[in-house]
This record gives sequence, structure tokens and C-alpha cells, in this order.
Amino acid sequence: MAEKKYSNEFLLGLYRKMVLIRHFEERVKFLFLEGIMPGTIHQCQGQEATAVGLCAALNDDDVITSTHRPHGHCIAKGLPVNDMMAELFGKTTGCCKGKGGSMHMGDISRGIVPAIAIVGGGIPVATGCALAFKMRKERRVAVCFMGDGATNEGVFHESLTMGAIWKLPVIYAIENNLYGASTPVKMVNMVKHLSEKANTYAMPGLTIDGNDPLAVYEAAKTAVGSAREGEGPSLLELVTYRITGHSRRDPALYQPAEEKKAAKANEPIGRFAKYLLAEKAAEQSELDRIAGEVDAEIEEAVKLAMAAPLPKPEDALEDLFVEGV
Amino acid sequence: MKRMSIVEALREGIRAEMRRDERVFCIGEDIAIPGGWGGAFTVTLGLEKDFPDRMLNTPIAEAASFGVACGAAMMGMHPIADVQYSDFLMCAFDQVANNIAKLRYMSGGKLKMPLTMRAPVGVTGRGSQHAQNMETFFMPLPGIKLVCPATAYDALGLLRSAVRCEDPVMIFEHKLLYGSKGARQESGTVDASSEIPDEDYTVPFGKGIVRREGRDVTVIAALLMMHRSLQAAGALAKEGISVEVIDPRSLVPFDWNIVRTSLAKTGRVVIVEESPKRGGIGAEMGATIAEDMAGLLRAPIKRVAAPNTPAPFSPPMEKFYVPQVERIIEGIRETMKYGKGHHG
Amino acid sequence: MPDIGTAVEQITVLKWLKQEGQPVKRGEPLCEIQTDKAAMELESVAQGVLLKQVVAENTEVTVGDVIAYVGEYGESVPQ
Repeated sequence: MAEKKYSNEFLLGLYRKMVLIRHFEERVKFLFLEGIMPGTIHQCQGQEATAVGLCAALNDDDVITSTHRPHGHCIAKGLPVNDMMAELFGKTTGCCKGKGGSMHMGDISRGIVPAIAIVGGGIPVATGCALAFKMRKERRVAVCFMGDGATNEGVFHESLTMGAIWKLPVIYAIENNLYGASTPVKMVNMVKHLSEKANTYAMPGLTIDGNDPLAVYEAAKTAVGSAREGEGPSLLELVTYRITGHSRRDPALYQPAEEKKAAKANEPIGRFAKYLLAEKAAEQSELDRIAGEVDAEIEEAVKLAMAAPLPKPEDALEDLFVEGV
Repeated sequence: MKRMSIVEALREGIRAEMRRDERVFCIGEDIAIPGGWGGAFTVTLGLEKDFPDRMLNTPIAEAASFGVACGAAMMGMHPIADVQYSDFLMCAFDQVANNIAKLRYMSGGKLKMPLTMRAPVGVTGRGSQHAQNMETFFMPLPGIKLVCPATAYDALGLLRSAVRCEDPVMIFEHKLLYGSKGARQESGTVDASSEIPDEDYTVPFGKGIVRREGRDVTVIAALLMMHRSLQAAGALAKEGISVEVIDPRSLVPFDWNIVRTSLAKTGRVVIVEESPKRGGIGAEMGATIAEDMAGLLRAPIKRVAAPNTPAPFSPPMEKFYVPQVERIIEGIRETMKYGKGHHG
Repeated sequence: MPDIGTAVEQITVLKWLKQEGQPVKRGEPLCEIQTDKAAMELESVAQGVLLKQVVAENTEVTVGDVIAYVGEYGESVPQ
């Protein structure tokens, strides 16, 4: 019998994480519709495989930067849903003590820079984290998650130039969900594949099916491996699709109905479930059990978050400087 | 003790900090090219010989430069990031205003941003895109400390405080106060050199200094304007007008106590700045004085500033734009029309 | 009626897809609605039993209005 490439444990771990992201996002969506969650959210249903596949190739002390759509990245990198749910409710037990909210989700102690919501704003920051690792001769890497829209920001060009000329251990990961907000990616790019932009910086550029967590994982392993060996950065284009609106109030009417329908049929969790069953890595009952456990974990997070204290108004004055006010 | 210009003090200060702490590195354009200038004003001249791995010459990419410094700082390095002219901070401003200023706060205080930024300010005949005094754009950014050393002693002391502390600090240096030599010498340079002690000293944030004591009027002025205010004070002393000149040194945090103490004595204040008057740093100082110290005033607050235009090129217009000693004297005379004698 | 992102806040409840006494899962279609843009299904934000349909079919409501009570079997609802 041929040896399996991936252990069942590893495969089910990927599946579980993707389900956790999807169910978290769905639960949060309904909390919003109920009107009990403050602020706004940018959700990532449909994009679970990019974050999960990539983070599976990282160590705890590797660092990621994220965007205004950070929930999936944070869960994939290991930020507990309790900390995230509390942050969304603006509670003091949140990962940012209620100071950040949805778009600044993160925890530096888990290698997650608080998400940077300015499109492209995190690209040089990830590059800088990689610079610190290289200067101190650490074998850590930085991963920059960005959307297709960010690749047109000037700072994308500036940052990839620096990553390349200084051979920094950084992976630039584009989640191409075919729309920058409501603007189709083909309307604002001349290249056929965004990975072609890597040529400007003479760095490896790959286009990958972002809805296949194993394809993402393999590409990430290669990129991370070469970064750790001092060979410099890579550009990964992970093609995926957002099966929810840009933000919580977006009915996404700019996505053609046929396209949306096809995307729903291609979404990563359904596809991976089929794969797991076909490979006999799990039975349906196991997958159902995972979904049930995930739902219980999320309900617990909701319960804890709702019971947690809100900050005192004056807490707004704290946490500005290390020293002084 | 050794007499040094600001540029020499900064150079030796950066050299010593890099020797002292491996986490310190410099990042900027043209800062350490062999055979080059050591930055636009020679501050980092030759440092690449001592620290070949820690002087990073960047492409012309200010936004990424500052963003990279931000990322490295969050990972525990102590970078010193500079722009060649403070006007170019506008290219980096998203990183400064949205990342550097905000990330620690947004994290709930869970991360640190030990980053020092440096930029040269001041109008010097190069046209308005190489002339901005950028203090005005930084004062309203909560999350960044802001200092303006007008002497070599303060430049070195504040540099040390900035590099060693764990918060982001912006150091504004003035082109006409550097005292650069040779090809980078500036016409109109004012001597800002000081006797520099051999021992390690720092200048704390939030502490201004009285440069000249007086009884009739308080003048608050930073950088080049401080030196010009001293000249104005010297001229007015001959007429029996006693001017107290305060050099704030820090704009954020600001030493309001030193202003309060001075106003209690004089009751009159003139704020001098090289920036346009509208929304300038004088606006913040004036509003705070009016709000918190109105009882001490016996004359309206007077601001002497540039007009609300970009900086012009031609010398007669430049002289009109940047407050000259005469205009500072005029401003002081105006406040002297109010209230007889002095308090203290 | 939750805020689902319509430009116009008036929405018509066309037809109930769940009857009183029926169990409802979060995300299940609760009723058909007509917005200024399209007719669509409204997913339930709550989980439990549909205790009361507050508005009749073909009634126009505004975002924020109570259209139904979903809770535990036997719970009393305001009249």
C-alpha cells in the first residue's frame, strides 16, 4: 500500500480549522443581524483554505500581518475564538482589550500583528518584521496577507523591492478573490495573473488554487522553506472567492449571479470534505462531530464574551505610550 | 568636554548608540553609501565603516522605509528611520499616522513601537517642496512623541532618550542649525554648537528650558526661531524691554509648567514659529494658554508665524515668509502696548 | 427585520416559510421578503421555535420592526 502523504490527524486539523473559521463567521454574521454586536465586520466565508493552508506551514513564532478582513487569518494562526469574540463585543477580555475591534484583530504574542486596515498598509510592516529576523539571524519568517486590490498600492511595489534587494524572509500572499471591494480585478490589472508582478522583483511568483488547502500548504511550505534558508521572498497568488459581502451591509450585487453560484459549488470546505471522504481519511460521522464541537466552542465564546465586562469609558486614555501619557 | 555642532553631536550620538545596543540600526536614503554624503546633511557620514550591516540604504521609497522600520520595531529592534527633507514625510504619512502612531494603542498596549524618526525642517531657498516645517502635522497625532532640539547638547540628549525609549519619537532637526561642513554647508547657518560633556547624559521628554530670563514678555520658540528670538531679545534689552525666551525642546509632551511659571512673571506671550499661522503649533499653544492660563495674561496672545502660503523661492519673498528678527521684535512690541510694568 | 444592507428601509414580508410552533434553526429561511432591489428569502437570526408571526403576509415593515418571536417551546410572548 502506498504511504499516505499526510496523516489523518493533519488533514482533519486543516478541516477543523476551516470549519471553525466558517462557523465563527456565520455566527458573527447573525450576531450582527440581531443587532447586538457593535461596529462593522468584513468576513471571509469562502476564503478559509488560504489562511488555513498557509498557516499550516508556519511555526508559532513566525509572524503574520493581516488586513481589514482578518478573522480567518487570526483563527488559522491560533488566536483563540474566545479572545476574538470578546474583542468583537468590545470587551476588556478581547485580544486588544476592546481597543481594536474587528479590523485590528491580533495578538503579537501569537505572532499576529494587529490587523492593518489600510489596504496595502501591512506590506512594509511584514517586510520589516522579516528584516528584524534576518538582522538577528533568526530562522523565523513573516507572512503578509493581502488582497488583490493591495497589489496596486504604491507601497506594494516599494515593499517587494526592499524584500527582494535585501533577501528578506517574507512571503507575500495575495488572496485574490476577484474583487477589490466591488471592483473586478480584471478591470484594474493588465497582467493575466497577479503572480506575474513578481517578475519586477525577480522573486518566485506562483498562482495557486486558493480553495485547495493542500495546494496552498505545499506552495507555502516551499516559500517558507526558501525564506528560512535565506533565499529571500516569494509572491503567492491564492485564487479564491468571497461568498459573502465585502462588509456586513453589502449585498454584493456586483458579483454576477452565475459567478456566485459557481463559487458556492467550489467553496473549500465542501470540496475538502469530499476529498477526506474519498481518501477515507474520515467518515461523515467524524466530520459531523467536528462541526458539532466547533459550534459548541463558538457558543461558549459567545457566552463568555457577552458576560465579560465592558471597558470603563476612561480606559480610552490608557495604552498609548510605554512611558508617560 | 568637547565643542560640537548639531551634526557632529548627532553623528557621534548615533555611533555610540549603535555600539551600545545591537538592536539599533539606521534606515534611509543615501545614508551610508561609500564615498557618499552620509545623508543629505552628512549626519550619518562614515557610519557604514563601523556598522556595515546596520546602515540600510533604501530605494527611494519613504512609505516602505517607515513601514519596514515599524515592523522591525514591533519585533524588538530600535530603528532610526530618516527622510532627507521633512516634506517627504508626506510620502510616508500613512505608515506614520495609521501604523506607527496607532498600533500600540489598537493592540490594547500589548505591543511596543521603539522607533526613532528623524527629519530636517526649515526654509532654505530650495523651493516650497523642500521647505516644510512638519511639526504641525505631527502635533495632532496621538501616539508619537515629538522633539525639536535647537542646540547640539539637546540634539544629543534627546537622540539618546529617543533611541533608548520604547515609544515612537519624531526628532525634527533644522537645516540651518546643523553646522554641516564642506559641500553640504548651508548659507544662513546659525551657530547651534554646544559644549558636550564626556559622560553619558540624556535630555528628558516634556522638559523645556529657559534660554534667557526676562520679566516683561514670554517668547516661546523652537529650532531656528529660538535663536532668532534670542537675537530679538538681545536687541530689545537695549531699550529696556526684558524678554524671557523659552525653548520647549519637546512639543509632545509639552512643558506647560515652564510656560505657566513664566507667564506668572510676565503676563505677556509671543509664540514664534516658522510654519504658516493657520493651525500651526502656535495655535495649539495659544489655545491651551487661553484655556488654562487666561488669568495670568494681561495682553492678548501674539503669534508670529509664516503667512498661509507655501514657502516662496525668491530671497525677498523668503525673508517676508520666514519670521526675521525684525518681525519677532515687532510682535513683542505689540504685546508691550498692554499692561503697565511687570508682575514679578 | 434586520438591517440586511438595503438602500430603502421599507421591506415587505411576502410569505411565511415557517409556521407558529415549528422549529427554526439559525440561518434557515424564515419568510420571503421583497426589498426595493429583489425578492429573496430572509434567514432567521434566532434559533428555537417560531412562537409568533407578528405581521401578516404582504405587510410592509421598516428595518428594526419586530416581525416574529423565536424562543423556547412554551415561552410566553408579548401580545
